[in-house]
Amino acid sequence: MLITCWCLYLTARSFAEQTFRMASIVQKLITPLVSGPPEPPRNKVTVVGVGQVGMACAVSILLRELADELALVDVVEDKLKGEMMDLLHGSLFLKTPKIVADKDYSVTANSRIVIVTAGVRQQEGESRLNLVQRNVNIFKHIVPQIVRYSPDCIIIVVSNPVDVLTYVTWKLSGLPKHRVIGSGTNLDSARFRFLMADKLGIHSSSFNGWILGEHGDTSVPVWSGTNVAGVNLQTLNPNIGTEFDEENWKETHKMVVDSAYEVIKLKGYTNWAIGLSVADLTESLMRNMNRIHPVSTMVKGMYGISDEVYLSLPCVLNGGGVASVVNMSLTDDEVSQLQASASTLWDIQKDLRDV
Amino acid sequence: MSVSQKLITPVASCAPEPPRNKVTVVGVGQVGMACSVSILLQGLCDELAMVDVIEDRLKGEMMDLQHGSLFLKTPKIVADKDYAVSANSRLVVVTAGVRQQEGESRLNLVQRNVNVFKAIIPQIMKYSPNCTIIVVSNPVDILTYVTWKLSGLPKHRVIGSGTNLDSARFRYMMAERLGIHASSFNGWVLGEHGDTSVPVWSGANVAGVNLQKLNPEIGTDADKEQWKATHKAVVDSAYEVIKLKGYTNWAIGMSVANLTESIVKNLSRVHPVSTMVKNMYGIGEEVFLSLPCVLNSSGVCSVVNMTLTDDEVGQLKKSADTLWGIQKDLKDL
Repeated sequence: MLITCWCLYLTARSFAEQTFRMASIVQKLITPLVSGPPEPPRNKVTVVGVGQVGMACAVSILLRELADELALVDVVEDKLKGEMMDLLHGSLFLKTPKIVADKDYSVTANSRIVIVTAGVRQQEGESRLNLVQRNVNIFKHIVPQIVRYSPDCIIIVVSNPVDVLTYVTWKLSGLPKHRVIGSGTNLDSARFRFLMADKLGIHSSSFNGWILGEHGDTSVPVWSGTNVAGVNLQTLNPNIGTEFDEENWKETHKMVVDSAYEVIKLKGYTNWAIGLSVADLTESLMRNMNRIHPVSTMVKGMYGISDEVYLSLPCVLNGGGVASVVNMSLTDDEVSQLQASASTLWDIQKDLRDV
Repeated sequence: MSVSQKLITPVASCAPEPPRNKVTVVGVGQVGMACSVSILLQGLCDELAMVDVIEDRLKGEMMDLQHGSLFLKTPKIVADKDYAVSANSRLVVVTAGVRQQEGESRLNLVQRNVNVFKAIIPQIMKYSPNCTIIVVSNPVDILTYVTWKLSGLPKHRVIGSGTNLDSARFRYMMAERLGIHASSFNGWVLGEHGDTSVPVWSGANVAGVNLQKLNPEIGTDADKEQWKATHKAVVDSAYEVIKLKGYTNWAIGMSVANLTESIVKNLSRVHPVSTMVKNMYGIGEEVFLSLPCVLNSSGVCSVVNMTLTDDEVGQLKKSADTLWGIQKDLKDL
């Protein structure tokens, strides 16, 4: 009896050892406690378009640790897969545990924020408005797919002409207007603050200045609001920004407008600054910060504008999107510049079909 | 009085302070820019200088980064084809040179890149005689040797990015198979950054649990779980990404920023980077291979003595022979 028990014991032990030897490293090393599907993401970001701008946005967002999942979508499958792999190979250095990519939009499901950079870009010397019809056609494919898989998302439109395309996205998506944002003059204002601060020998973040309106040739520098430590520059120099200004500060705004053309002429495209500025917007939205940014929003009913156009105004951004708009104290001239931008944009928008 | 004069009253009237943590990136191609952006986004330097021969592209890249200044904490970003702009750098990252075409091995690039380096390295040294140089251009082990020779720097100040990236890829791929984060998988790939890199299976562990003890055949052909395929995927990675998107840049950029952080912040972290290995593991030639190095502000302050199997030592020796075979024919170093 004892011998039988002993033999049974030995057999059982040998079986267990053999099973252990046959078990994989994963099975030996790790004992699961939780079974069932993994948790869904809470801070998922999708970037549509993996060109230079899309990848600059993606890398800035990854290095700022803003997302727990990043999805990339594009039509060029090889490049898309290559970019995804290159980012995955950097996983050791990142805190975004899941990076996925596919031409099928199902990979974007449950995104909080979707950044649209897809479309054609300005060639040397070409204005942003020239890109419009080509990019509208692309958006007709993209936007419904985005909303299908992430019906509660916030969309940040980056592709140019951004104000028109933000309008198009709003129309095609059916989303409420506070959930569709154009990257707008966030970048123009960043460039303005850099160039102005550089002239004054201080850091960009210490120079306060806003550029509003169209992201493009007719953007509006609000000279009346420019200040350092609360000291208003227009009070120090009432001619600032006008033709009569001996210091010719207006030139700085012109440099902002020319920046994109200049960088495109030198290196073929711009990407780093726009990528950083999109990450900055993403941070306010993702972290529910209520920070104010100049971004493109629906401005019908403001400043005497009666058409449904998108222009950049200072918007309070939080987890819900555009929570509110700051009412600027603009001069009559600044208001009419905004109205002129609105007319230019509406002129283009009214001819767009099937939107 | 100008706006500036009315607004601001200077207090310290001397010349601006020289930079303390200046980094120069030589080469503003995809790899150089990925290194620059990773370094900027982590706030690792107080001044960034970029150098290249293509002036338009260089100026465009500089402007694009400067336009992002509002979002960065690096107050000075400069660029020029003249190396004077790189003066007083603590760290110089060299990414210049030609890159692998689809299907081309790294060793094939050697002579073209040696010629490029003969123009670059003396200029770097002229303006930053006390710097540490990180070589990224391929074939990195040979070019690190070339840089060491051309610069006259002591060997602890010349580092090749080496297998820091291979090890990062290895840790990511192994960790994926185990369902954990790359940083929780410990594994080292040493030796040549290239087709003959050596995965040190005997050291692979998670939370100190040695994988080779769990599976004594790990990494061999007899291994049922075929873990060796994971190392092969690491070796093939670069070729695969190049085939898909034309080049690799993000992962190498992040890995260089990782090395930069250890050096600039004097961390004494251990990284697998390419260093001069003569007299170690029975290697009799002056070759650079990746071993685990302690990196801090002095550069490679020390090397960790690995416990390698005879087979792993044999593989290192073989890499050393392959590299010396190429190096001995290089002229005018």
